[in-house]
Amino acid sequence: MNKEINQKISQFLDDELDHAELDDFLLKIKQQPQLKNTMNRYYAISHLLSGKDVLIADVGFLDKVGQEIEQEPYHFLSKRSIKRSIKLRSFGFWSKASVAMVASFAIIAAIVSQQINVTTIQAPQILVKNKSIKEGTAIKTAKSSQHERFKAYLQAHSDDIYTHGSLSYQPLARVVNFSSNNN
Amino acid sequence: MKTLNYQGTVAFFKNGRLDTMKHTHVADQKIEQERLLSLNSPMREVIRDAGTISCIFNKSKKVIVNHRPVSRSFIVDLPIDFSALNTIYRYSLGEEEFVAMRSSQTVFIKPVDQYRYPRKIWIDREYFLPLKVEVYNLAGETLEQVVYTDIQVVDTLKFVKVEKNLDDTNITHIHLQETDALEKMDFILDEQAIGFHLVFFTRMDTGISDKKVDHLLLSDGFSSVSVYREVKSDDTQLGVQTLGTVNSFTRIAEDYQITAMGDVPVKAVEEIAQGIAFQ
Repeated sequence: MNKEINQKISQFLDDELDHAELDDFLLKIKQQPQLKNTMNRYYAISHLLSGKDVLIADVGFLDKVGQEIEQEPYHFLSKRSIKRSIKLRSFGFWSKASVAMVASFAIIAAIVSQQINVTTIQAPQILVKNKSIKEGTAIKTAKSSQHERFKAYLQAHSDDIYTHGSLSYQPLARVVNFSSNNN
Repeated sequence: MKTLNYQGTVAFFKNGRLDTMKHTHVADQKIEQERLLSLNSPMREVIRDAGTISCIFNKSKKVIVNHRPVSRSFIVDLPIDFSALNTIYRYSLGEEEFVAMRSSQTVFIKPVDQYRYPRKIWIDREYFLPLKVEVYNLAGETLEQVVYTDIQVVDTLKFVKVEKNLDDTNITHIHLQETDALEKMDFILDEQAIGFHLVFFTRMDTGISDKKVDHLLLSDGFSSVSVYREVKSDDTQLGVQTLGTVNSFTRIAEDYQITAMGDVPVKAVEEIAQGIAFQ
């Protein structure tokens, strides 16, 4: 069993898994989180053998990236984005998870450079993280403010809140659409 | 419509959502009261009384009181004088159809321009009540439907009182301030705003900032457009926004952001917003 899963990890890192195998593999990773350690080890070995230096990411890093992706605000989507997201959804849950995982590894690959000193590597990471949190907070606050303003305007104008009760139960941002070619 | 006592069940279909409510209209001389009671969640009671709408949500105990609602009826806003709208709408009679097992006359209301939506109204042949209303977009697709599934006209109905012992902390007031005189407006509409006339002007609190928001209501008899003006903010979303059948257009003019919003085509809100000028 271990041999089989280790082989799958190796194939995953070499991008040799087909779609069905990838789904199955990601499910196993989810069920057995300890496999992420093995995967990280394989990843490091692979890069060291190829003569590249590597930085090992925290095991929880992938989870954090996954959570960040999940928490990414998705309101105020353009029509094009909505169509694209609908297409993505049609791939199914695990396909989406696959995309997220692959994206996570792409991010790790981008971060990986020199494992000279852990402290020197971590410092810029923390700075970047703080910056992104501040930017994220600012964006969320701005969108929240837009949302509240739009909601206040609608409440003053529309009877929908009475006939559908929608304004108090459904975040408007989820159904607001920006467009230039509506009727 | 204004002088009869009637009650029934009304289905509202809008923005892809269907909601069914019990509707009651009570009239006694010149006093009117309209009441909606939801049959499905979120459970709520809505009372239009002396120009004020109170909406009480049963579960959350939240209350919304709109002291100056834009609409005059939950079913359909009809112009006081149809003939005055001959320049912007064309009327034609359709066939007799039945709604809620009552004979009705269909009336088509087609705009002569692209600034408003076409409508079809089913009018009760005995009491002249609107039994069904459909609003279409410019492509002819149905945007909104309001239809009675049953209705009874009766001699008398009782007025109901809005609950007075409401928790103040749960009440959201809209348009609490009295309407201002139109002369107080320091901005003007360009050239009658494509057939929409001024209805009222007021300053309101949105709760988002300390600054008041100017609210100007326009109407063409069937459709209403609200124009909001407030000091511009850094996060203003400019251009067109759409929520179901409601379109809005926002632009920056000097230090203000102007938003026109209504159940009208994009072209209308855009032209109205662009037509605002400062005195």
